[in-house]
Amino acid sequence: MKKTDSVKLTKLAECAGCGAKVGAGELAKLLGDLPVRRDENLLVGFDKSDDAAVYKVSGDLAIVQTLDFFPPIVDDPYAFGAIAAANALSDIYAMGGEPKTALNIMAVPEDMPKEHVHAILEGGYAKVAEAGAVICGGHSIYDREPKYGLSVTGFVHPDRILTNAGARPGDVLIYTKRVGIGVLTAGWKAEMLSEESKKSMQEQMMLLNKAARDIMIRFRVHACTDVTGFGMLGHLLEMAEGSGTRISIETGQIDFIPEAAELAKMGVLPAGMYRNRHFAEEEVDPGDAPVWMQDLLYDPQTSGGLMMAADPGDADALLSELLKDPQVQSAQRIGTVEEYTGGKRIRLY
Amino acid sequence: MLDARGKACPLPVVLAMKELDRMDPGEILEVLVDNEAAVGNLTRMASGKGAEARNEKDGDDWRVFITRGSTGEAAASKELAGQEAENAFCDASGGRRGTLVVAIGTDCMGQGDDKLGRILMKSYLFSLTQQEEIPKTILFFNGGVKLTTEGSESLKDIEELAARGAEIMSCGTCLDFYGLKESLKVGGITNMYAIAETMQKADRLVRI
Repeated sequence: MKKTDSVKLTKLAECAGCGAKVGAGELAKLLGDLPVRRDENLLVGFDKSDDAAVYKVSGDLAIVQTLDFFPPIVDDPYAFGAIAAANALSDIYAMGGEPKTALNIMAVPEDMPKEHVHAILEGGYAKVAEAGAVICGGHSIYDREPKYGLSVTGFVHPDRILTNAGARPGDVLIYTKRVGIGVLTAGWKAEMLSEESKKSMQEQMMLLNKAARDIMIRFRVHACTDVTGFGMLGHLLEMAEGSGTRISIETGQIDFIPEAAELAKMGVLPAGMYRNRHFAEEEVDPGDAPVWMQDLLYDPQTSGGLMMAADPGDADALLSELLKDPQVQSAQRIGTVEEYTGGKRIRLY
Repeated sequence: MLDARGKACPLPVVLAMKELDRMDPGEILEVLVDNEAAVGNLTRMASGKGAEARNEKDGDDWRVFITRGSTGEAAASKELAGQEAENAFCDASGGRRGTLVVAIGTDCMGQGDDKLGRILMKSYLFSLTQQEEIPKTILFFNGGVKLTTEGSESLKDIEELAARGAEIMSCGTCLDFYGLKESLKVGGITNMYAIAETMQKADRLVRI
C-alpha cells in the first residue's frame, strides 16, 4: 500500500463511503413516476432494485452496466481510490458478470495536491487491472468535496445472470466478508480505532469480490447481490421481495468484526445505519437479537461481500471452495431462503 | 448543556461520552442535537454505560437527558473510557512519548501586521486539527481567550480538537479582563497556578 503522509481525506468528506448513499426508500420515491421506456433486451433495469443493469446483445452475450462513486472513506488517497474501484467493480460480480471496461468519475477540490489526486487514480487503476478490465476514459470536475468511483461495463451470458430475484425456497445463504465496516468507519472518525483495525478495515474494503464470483459461477447459485450501502438486512430485503420469498438469518453464524461490535455497544454508529433501519425494519422480525447485533446488520458496508443464494445440493461444496481460497476473506453459511406465507420478510434467530 | 447541533455522527456521542465521564453519579447531562441518528447513538451509549436516557423533541432539534449511573459498573466504565482515551492518544502521537502542550497568549500569530496575524492564527488552529498528534492541553491566555469565546472564527477547529481529546483551558483572569466570561464557547476556565503547573509538567511546550 502506498503511504502518503499528513493527508486527512476523510476530513473533507461529509459522509463516508457507502454511508453517503441516498436511502433505499428515498430513492424509490425519487424514481417512482419517471417514465420507463420498454426495451425487450433490457433484462434488468432500475425498476428491479438490482445491483446493475443488464442488456442483452445477442443469444450468448449480455452487457452488465453499473456506476458507483463516493466521498473519501479513508485518509490514504491510494487506498481510497482502490476501495472506490473495488466497490464499483463489485456490482458486476454480484450479477455473475466479468468486468471488461471502466470509466473514471472524479471530483476534486482545486487546491488538492496533485500527487494526492494522482494517488487516488493509481489506486483505482490497480484494482481495475487486478479485475482484468481496462480503464478507457472518464470525467472529472472541481468540487469542494472529493469523490471518486467508476462506471463499469461487464459481460455475462444471458442465461447465467444472477439477479436478487432468483432466490428459491430451500436455498442456502452464503456471505463472503466480515460485517461491521460502516461502524468501523464511524469509529475511525471518532479516533477510536487502533492502527491495526484501520489497516485491516482498509484491506477488507480493497479486497475484490472477483475470487468469490469466480468460484460462485461454477456452482448452482440462484441469486446473488453484493451487500453495500443498504446494509445486510436492506439488501436481503430486496432479495426476499424480489424473489417472493422469506429469509431466515442465523445470527450466530455471522462473522462480525469484534471491534465493530464493541463500538456498536457504545453507540458509535453512522447515520446511514439509522436510514437503513427505517427502510427495512418493518419487514424484520429481530427475535432475541440484541440491539448492537441488529445495528451491525443494518450497518452500511462499503465494498461489502457477495451474498449468494445457493442450491442446497451445492452449498457445502461451494462453501468449502470459498474457504479454501486465500482471496476470499470469509465464508459464512448465514441463513436460508424459505417460502413466503405472509408476515415479515426476514426473521433473525 | 452540550450543544452538539451541526455535528455529524459519531461526533455528538463521542463528545457526550467524554462529558459524561467527567460527571458525578446522579448528575444529568443534557445534549442538544439536530438529527435522529444522534439521538439513537446517545440512547445506545447511555444504556451501554448503565445510564438512563430520555429525549424530547424541541422544534427541529432534540434534547437528550442522560442520568449518569451510580453503580460500580458506571465507575468501571469511567476508568475504561479514560484508558481508551489514553490509548487513542498514544496511537495518535505516532509513538512519540511525552505530553505536548500548546500555549496561546494572543489572537494574532507572529509580529507585524495584526490583520495578517489573525488570519495566520485561524489557519494555525485549523492546521492543528489536521495533525496526526493532537496536543494534550491547549492553554489560552491574554488575547488568546478571544479565540475560545463568542465571535471567534476558530471555534469549530477548537471544538474538534476538544472532541479528539485535547483539554481546552482559558485563563479566568483574562476572560474577566476582556469582559468575555459569559461568552466562553469551548473548554473550561483555569487559573495561573494551573497554567504554570501545566507548562512545567509538559514534555514539549509550544508557545504561540
